[in-house]
Amino acid sequence: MNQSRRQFLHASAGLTAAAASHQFSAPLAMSLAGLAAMGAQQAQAADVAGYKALVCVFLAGGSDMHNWVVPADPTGFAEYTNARQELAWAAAKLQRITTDNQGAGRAFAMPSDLAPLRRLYQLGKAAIVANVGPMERPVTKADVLAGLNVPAKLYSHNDQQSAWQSLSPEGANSGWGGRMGDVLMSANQQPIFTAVSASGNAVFLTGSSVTQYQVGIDGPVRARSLDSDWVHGSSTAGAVLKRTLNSVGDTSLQAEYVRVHQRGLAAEEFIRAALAATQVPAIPKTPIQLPVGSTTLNQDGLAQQLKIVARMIGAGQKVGMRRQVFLVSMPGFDSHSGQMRDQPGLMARVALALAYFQSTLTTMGVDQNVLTFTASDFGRTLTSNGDGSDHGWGSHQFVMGGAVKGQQIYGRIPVTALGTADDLGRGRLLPSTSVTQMASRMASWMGLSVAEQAYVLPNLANFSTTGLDFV
Amino acid sequence: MRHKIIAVTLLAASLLTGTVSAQVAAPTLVVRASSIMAGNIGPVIELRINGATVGKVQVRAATPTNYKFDASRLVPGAAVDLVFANAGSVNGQARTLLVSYLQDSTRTVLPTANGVTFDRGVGPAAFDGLYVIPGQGELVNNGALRLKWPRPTTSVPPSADQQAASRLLQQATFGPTTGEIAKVVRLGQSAWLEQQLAMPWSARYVPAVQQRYDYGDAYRPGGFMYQSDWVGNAFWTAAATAPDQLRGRMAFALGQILTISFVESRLWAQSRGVAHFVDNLHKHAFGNYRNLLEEVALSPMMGIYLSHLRNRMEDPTTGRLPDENFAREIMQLFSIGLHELNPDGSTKVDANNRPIETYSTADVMAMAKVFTGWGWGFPDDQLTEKNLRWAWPSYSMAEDAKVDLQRMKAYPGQHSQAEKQLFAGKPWAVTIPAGTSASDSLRMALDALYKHPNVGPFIGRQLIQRLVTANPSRGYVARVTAAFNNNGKGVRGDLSAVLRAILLDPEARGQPTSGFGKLREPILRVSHWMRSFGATSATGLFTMADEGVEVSQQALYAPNVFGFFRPGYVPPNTRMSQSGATSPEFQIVNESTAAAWVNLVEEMVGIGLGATSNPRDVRSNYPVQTAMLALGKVDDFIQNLNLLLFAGNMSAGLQSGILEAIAGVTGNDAAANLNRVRVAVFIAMSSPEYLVQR
Repeated sequence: MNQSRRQFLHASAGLTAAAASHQFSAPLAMSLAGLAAMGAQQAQAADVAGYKALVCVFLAGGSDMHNWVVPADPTGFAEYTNARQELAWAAAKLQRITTDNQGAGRAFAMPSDLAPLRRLYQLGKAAIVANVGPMERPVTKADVLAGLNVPAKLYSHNDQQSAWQSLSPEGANSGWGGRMGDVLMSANQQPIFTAVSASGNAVFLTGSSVTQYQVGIDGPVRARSLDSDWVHGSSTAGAVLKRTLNSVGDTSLQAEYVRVHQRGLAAEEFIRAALAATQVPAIPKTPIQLPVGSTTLNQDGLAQQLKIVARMIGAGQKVGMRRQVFLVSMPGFDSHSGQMRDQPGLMARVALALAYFQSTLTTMGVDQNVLTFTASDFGRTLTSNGDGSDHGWGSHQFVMGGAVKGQQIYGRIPVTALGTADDLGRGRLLPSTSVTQMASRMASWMGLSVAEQAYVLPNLANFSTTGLDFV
Repeated sequence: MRHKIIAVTLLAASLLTGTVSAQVAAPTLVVRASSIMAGNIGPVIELRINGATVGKVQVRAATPTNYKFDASRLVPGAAVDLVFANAGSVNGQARTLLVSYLQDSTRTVLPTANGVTFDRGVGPAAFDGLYVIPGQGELVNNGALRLKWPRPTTSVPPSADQQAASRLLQQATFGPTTGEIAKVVRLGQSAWLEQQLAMPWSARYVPAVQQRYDYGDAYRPGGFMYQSDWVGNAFWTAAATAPDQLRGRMAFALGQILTISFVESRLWAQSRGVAHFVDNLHKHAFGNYRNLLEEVALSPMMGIYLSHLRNRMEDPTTGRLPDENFAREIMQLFSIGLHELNPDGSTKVDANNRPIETYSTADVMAMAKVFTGWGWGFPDDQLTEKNLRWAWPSYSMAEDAKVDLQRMKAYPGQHSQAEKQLFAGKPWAVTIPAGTSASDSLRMALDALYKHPNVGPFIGRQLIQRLVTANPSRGYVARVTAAFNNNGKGVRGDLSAVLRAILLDPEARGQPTSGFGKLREPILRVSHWMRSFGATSATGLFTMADEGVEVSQQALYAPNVFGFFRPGYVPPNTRMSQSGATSPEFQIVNESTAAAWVNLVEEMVGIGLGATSNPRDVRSNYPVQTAMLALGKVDDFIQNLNLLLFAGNMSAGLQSGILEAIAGVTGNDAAANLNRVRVAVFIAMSSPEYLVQR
């Protein structure tokens, strides 16, 4: 590890934190104070021993997590059914989970479609973080209803996806995964693989220094003709192509496009051999019922993305990677209509894919080294619009991994009813845990010091970080 | 620097470098060559013109390099001999001379051109007419490459008008053709635009699907021959061949703002309805935005996509409230956006320097109530509550009443009777009184959105981005907003006025500034190739509906209502992010899609694109370009690509790269020339230089 580089990043982090948080108003002041604090803490060395990877599973559209973690005690279930009407699962579909900290008499369950995930939970490999949402600072229901301290662009898909990923609305310059990468990249022999997406461009993986690296489900994509001495009959075209792909021209657009090619070519050369040598168990052909027709897990996009992530984890360790952040995603969760019809298939795909991923990591011997978490734009309304739910805020998320202290719900699950102190209207939940707090716990596990976390999570000082020790 | 006009008129200047000498330089013959040396000695070229040696040089460069010879004696008809006299091998390594081309100020000659020969032999035996083979670029034996210097090219390089025409067509159509360039030059740009605006609309997409439906139930939803691909195929057919190109290009742009997508599984069985939606985008492309907004709001396809079809009114007894999906997105994406804007597109700020949100949650909930009680457009006597909730059109031959082609209808008694307050406290606030009918509620809500001052800059800036430049200046946006607000005849929302403002603006037509331009999106790169090179479809159906997945842009398959990329996207950690310059198309650029584009072009130029396997359905044989090469008109060919693909701005480096690439093809027959064209188009269109449209 390049210690001097870590120290450089320590010193410069204050400036970049300011840049990264320009969408906030209040945290800027905190960042300046944080700079001074960081100066005092520069000597604190964070832990980059061994190998660790953080994997974000983004459920795009705003997943209705009210129906993933369901009250199962008689009172709770009655409240749930009453609030949700046609969106409520029947009791017969629910399978109890073990938890002991949500208050006397409260019990919870998961629908049977999530059985593979429930199994991991019960084995202690997965936990629930309750009612999480992006927040700038803790706010009360009264504040929100009065329009005070309400996060910008609440309930807007693209902005809340960005808020989850970067703590800022759409237009953020960096995400907290990428900012983690900024701090940790010097521990990696090949920094280009610090932040890897199997899913497309996402602000989550962008840092001030770190740029996401995109990998396809079969690995890096390479322009075939670069290696060929017969391209449409030409023995010279391959060499010419190599030159043209590197010609920066005289516009920013061209120069930046060339950089993408250059990164791709360089990265593919670094990782090709290691990836080829890293095979993982095939995705099983587990049948999955869909609203229309059916599929098998091996054809499912999320499982395929997680498979390449597993291979990149294995290959990464071969090329000297110590800390990596990954993103995978799955669309289809915006259940304004047809929710009861669509949720079982969505749940099955996620649960089976996560189970495959965890079992693969175990086979590879790295289950202790990888922490996976779910995220989504937002939760949804408790109340139905007749056929589905609408945009909400707080939602329950899952964390998974060998290091997770599973079989537990962390944070507080609100009472699943309307008119509570958590209900902002229609059962849109005021989060009881912020993304910042959840991310902080994961950042600690990844080895970031308190000072480094202030850079990654600019509003961290607004929150308490106790009680969320899920890993 | 690109002094296009000067380069065109001063032929004494090198065709490649486009620079102008202060004085007339000695004429030069360039031999572009490289070598594989042996024993650290490179091949020696001795150049003779009409038998006299004009120069000798050892070629030591491993990559193609210009070697210059005195061309004072070079006239048409002169005998040119490129003598290679020190071939041999050392330790098994053959000394090899690789000739890319010969070039003077008038033309380029490939070693494989018609009439070039290689006479193998040592010393005088290189001129004895024995052991003669057709000319080639890779020489491993002693001998002479022999040719008669051809006449100067008789063609005229592309004019400034042609270049400007190509540039306009790249903004206003799916790609320039030689014929359309000529038309723009002949009519003038304004008149061409007016001609396009005057072209009447007729449905294209519904007839394409209906033709299949008419074959019988097997071709209707649920039948084994049914496809949703027909709509995508119709898109590619129109992009490639339809004469009303501006209308199509505008409809494509509007469809990226008012988005529906086959990614939504509920639309898989709605080919004809989706076709109708696309037809309507074309129908209203030059019309009024208010009408377009209403058409979209009442489209059952949009009703399915954003779930306001059959949206039920509130029920206080159960706590049910109306679906907010469409209500939110019609504001956020289809009309006013999230923040109040100045006419120049910049964000307004309040006294605390914060952006001002255009709508609140209360507005979303009120708007949700507006879009209640609307359902499938069954006949008026069938608009019952039961039908609203449960009836679905049948598309079987026996029962098809083409309900999917009807606007949604308001079902009596199913519309929210509540008062709906929109934008309370704002100058454009509207209160829809309790008890207002569904159609009046809708009319009032759409009027309120349409009249909102945001629409001009919000929609206008996006249209500029779709057609012309990714990060328009505030002045440009302001001028387009002004055209939206008033078309000159007191009418608001006239899209033909908006189009004139966008395409005729000095920023679009004048010399590009440093920040001007956009990265071409994959669909338009492919349509450019189709049109510029006259691609044809073996089936006539242009079966390309599935193309584009690997480059993240498959037509009609936007991942969600936010489209393929966001108008406000700024690529992180780039020069663009230093200035906050928006570049939406970069949102789908990454290591995978960049490499995938190169692979796509490699296939496209050769075996083609489309559903059939080998060869594929859509291909080009490049008749014009292959004919040029057959006549040895290499420079004409390069300039032809330059005009069609680069509007005359292809860099010298790319031109010489293409020459090197085609010089690497051996042989002289039609197949070799076809390969030369393919490889040239491949190098051109896979280049980052091509991908930037200026």
